[in-house]
Amino acid sequence: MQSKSISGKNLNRTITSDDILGKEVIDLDGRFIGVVEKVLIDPIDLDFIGIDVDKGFLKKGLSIGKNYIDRISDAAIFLKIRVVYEIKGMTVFDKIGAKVGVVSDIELLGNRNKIKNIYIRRGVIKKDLTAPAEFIEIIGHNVILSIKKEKLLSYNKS
Amino acid sequence: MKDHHRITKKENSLDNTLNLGNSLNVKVISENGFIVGKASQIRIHPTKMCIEGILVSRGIFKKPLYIGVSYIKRLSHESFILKINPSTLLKGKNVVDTNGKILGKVKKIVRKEHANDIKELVVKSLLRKEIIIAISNIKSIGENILLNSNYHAKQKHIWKKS
Repeated sequence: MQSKSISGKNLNRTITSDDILGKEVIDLDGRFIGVVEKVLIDPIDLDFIGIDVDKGFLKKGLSIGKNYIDRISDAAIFLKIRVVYEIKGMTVFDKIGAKVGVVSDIELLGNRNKIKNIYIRRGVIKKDLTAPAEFIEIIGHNVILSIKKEKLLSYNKS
Repeated sequence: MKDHHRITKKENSLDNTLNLGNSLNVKVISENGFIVGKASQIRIHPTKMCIEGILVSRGIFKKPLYIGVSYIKRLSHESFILKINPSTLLKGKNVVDTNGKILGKVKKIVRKEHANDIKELVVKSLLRKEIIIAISNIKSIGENILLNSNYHAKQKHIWKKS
């Protein structure tokens, strides 16, 4: 059914919330993050702010700002970034490949997708370790630090 | 270290070397932190007397990988850390096109001879014919494989003539 428009703009190249809701969200690494659950709009500026992502049953949702969205395609939303929260649960190795522990939590810089610190769980008895972002060499399938385990332990003691 | 006589010309002292015996069965970690397997053998050139590569065992059901020393970044008594993510491990990863559609899974990796450099990927999905994707059409390789926006090949069903 044809509709009338009083927007004063050409709406042919626009998309609607239906084109976004329910779509898969894929990060820069090709990882499927979740499904778009909500579209977020500023109630005063009426600007599109971002999306809320449903990551699945029993998992915490994730809000992603529009500046981190690369494009919206027919079947998915592509992000410009690798979502740092996804490193939770990854194994942490030190510079020489010794296992340090598992990422239990992440502290971000403000609300940005930038790591300030990661917290490493080493088991039930041992105390968690803190590793600042500058100690991280690579984040891929797991995390590799740029320092040896001993240096990380002495950093945590001081 | 036990006291010993040293007879070397230009070589490092004992303390500045590693005992390869301690490096057997250590884990081998790829550039992105993936545990590839365990170093089951360390291979030496028979006349040059230098390390040529390592054989990485990946369990009884998987083919071992022989990785040349040029792809090894670091060696310690804890692990071998590679400079690369072995391209042979891409098998089974999803291939996603520019619209977010999963075209299929990587069935085969065609490399440039024995190097880690990929030439093309063979992608297969259920009820559809195989498609060959050249490296130039791949945007990124990570958790899954993302294709460039200029890739538009259509997949044919297996019952259609090519």
